[in-house]
Amino acid sequence: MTTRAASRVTRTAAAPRGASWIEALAVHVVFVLVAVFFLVPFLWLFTAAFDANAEAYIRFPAQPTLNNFVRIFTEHDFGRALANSVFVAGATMLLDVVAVALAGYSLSRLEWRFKSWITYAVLLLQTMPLSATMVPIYGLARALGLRNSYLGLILIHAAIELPFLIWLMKGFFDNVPRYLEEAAWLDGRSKLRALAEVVLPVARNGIGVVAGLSFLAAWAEVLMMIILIDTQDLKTVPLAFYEALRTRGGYTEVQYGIVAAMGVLYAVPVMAIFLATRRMMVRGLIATSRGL
Amino acid sequence: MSRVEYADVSKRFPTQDRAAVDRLTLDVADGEFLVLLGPSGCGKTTALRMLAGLEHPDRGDILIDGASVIRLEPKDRDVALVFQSYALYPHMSVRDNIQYPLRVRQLSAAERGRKVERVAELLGIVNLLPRRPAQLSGGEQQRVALARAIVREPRVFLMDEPLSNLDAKLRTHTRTELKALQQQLGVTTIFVTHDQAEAMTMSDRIAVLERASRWRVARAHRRLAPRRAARGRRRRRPQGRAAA
Ligand SMILES: Nc1ncnc2c1ncn2[C@@H]1O[C@H](COP(=O)(O)OP(=O)(O)OP(=O)(O)O)[C@@H](O)[C@H]1O
Ligand SMILES: [Mg+2]
Repeated sequence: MTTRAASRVTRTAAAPRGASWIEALAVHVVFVLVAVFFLVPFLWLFTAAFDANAEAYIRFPAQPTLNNFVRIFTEHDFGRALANSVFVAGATMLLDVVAVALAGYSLSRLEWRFKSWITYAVLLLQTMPLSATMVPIYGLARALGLRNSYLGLILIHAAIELPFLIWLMKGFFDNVPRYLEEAAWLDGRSKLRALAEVVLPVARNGIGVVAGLSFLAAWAEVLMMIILIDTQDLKTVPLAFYEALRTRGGYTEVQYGIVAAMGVLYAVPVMAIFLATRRMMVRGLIATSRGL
Repeated sequence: MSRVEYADVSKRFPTQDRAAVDRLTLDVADGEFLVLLGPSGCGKTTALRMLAGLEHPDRGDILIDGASVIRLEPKDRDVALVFQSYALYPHMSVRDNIQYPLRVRQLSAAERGRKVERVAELLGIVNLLPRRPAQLSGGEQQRVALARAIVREPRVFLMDEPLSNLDAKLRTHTRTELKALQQQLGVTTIFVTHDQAEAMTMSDRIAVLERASRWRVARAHRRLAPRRAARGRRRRRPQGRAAA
């Protein structure tokens, strides 16, 4: 169902029935240009990472080498940064999934006072620029002893994405027919277990999207990392980048090969996750409740 | 096995200006097969949902075995409902759908298997057990929904047009099976249908709801309620005028 619909859409976009070949060509040219525009930085990343003397422009390495990768682990302690990033993003994801499942369900299904006010207040939070809240977050984290701690990083990253993800998940829950959980209640299940055994599995594409987006957001976030972490032990990948760019006292002598090798290792897990979950993500983002 | 009483029950949905159920008083004897008949929109589904605990009445009381249930959660009422919209769990196989209520009651796998096979046979859906609901026709889904309700022995069966999507032959057959099963189990049953023949052949009594308005429902009630259908299952007593 989904596949057929998708291919139909593609066909219409690329070559609408009865359209001239010029139109089709134009569409393809635009697609290719857009694709190239977005792919060029990756091309640089992958060529520079294997180049012993990488520069800030694209060139194919004269002698391909893995030396950059060896050096980031031996000289820059990149292993620890990766482990920290994986841990923080993974824990953020778990926390977000649990919180979003409960909050989204509540906004979608339960009746309580001021619900619509709070629903919009949640959305309002999302419109706040993060940099505007940077100083209070810093102060609060310091007062609570949450600087330089995993807990602080996880809580704050989870909170940053929460409003948007709650709204997203509310939409998924809204698409789950009420009678499904009603059937589970009548079969003897409590509301919480009906949520876990019926509603969540039916809305699993939404959970997949929430998990993916919260992991990616925590994985790629920089600002909070910079203001919250200043010890080597807790250094995450973005901070490792930052350090690598600053080596030898300034920004003038950037070791592009090192940065590119880190970049490759930073991007690859994300791509792997995306490829592994792409069906869920695509289905979820299209937000179709068909073909469950 | 239980007696069900609606005592002066009313329900109006906030978005509607007319009550969906207006002062319904109805007494269903233990083990009785009561058919609810009435035009579309007259509040039949709403009446069943209030007994199941899915809607809260604005006024009046609902009792099972003399005890008020309106404060009980749906899970604690021990009532099985066949939804008009089937409400099959889309992520489970037909087998898992049917045995879900048994799993909730923590029956052993062997016992679950035995019961599922038996109802599946009764309803002619054995070959569908491994499939997903999305791979079934409307009539097949409806039989699975029925199977999920009758696989256990609740205090009350509520069936909201459970045969509406079956072809004539299958419908006649299922009617007979269902009625025989109900008599054998002796479970109090409230059965909604638009089909008068169905109402006549299956019921111990028929309650006719007309457009929810006070006196008409009361009239239907007056005609029906005084005759306590004591052990109605021994003798079918179809009565009442079906609203054309
Ligand atoms: N959730 C709801 N919100 C608002 N109005 C509702 C709701 N459910 C039912 N109604 C209204 O209540 C009235 C009774 O509905 P109900 O579903 O009980 O009718 P019914 O007798 O089951 O009809 P049918 O034979 O078509 O199934 C209708 O006017 C309907 O529009
Ligand atoms: Mg109905």
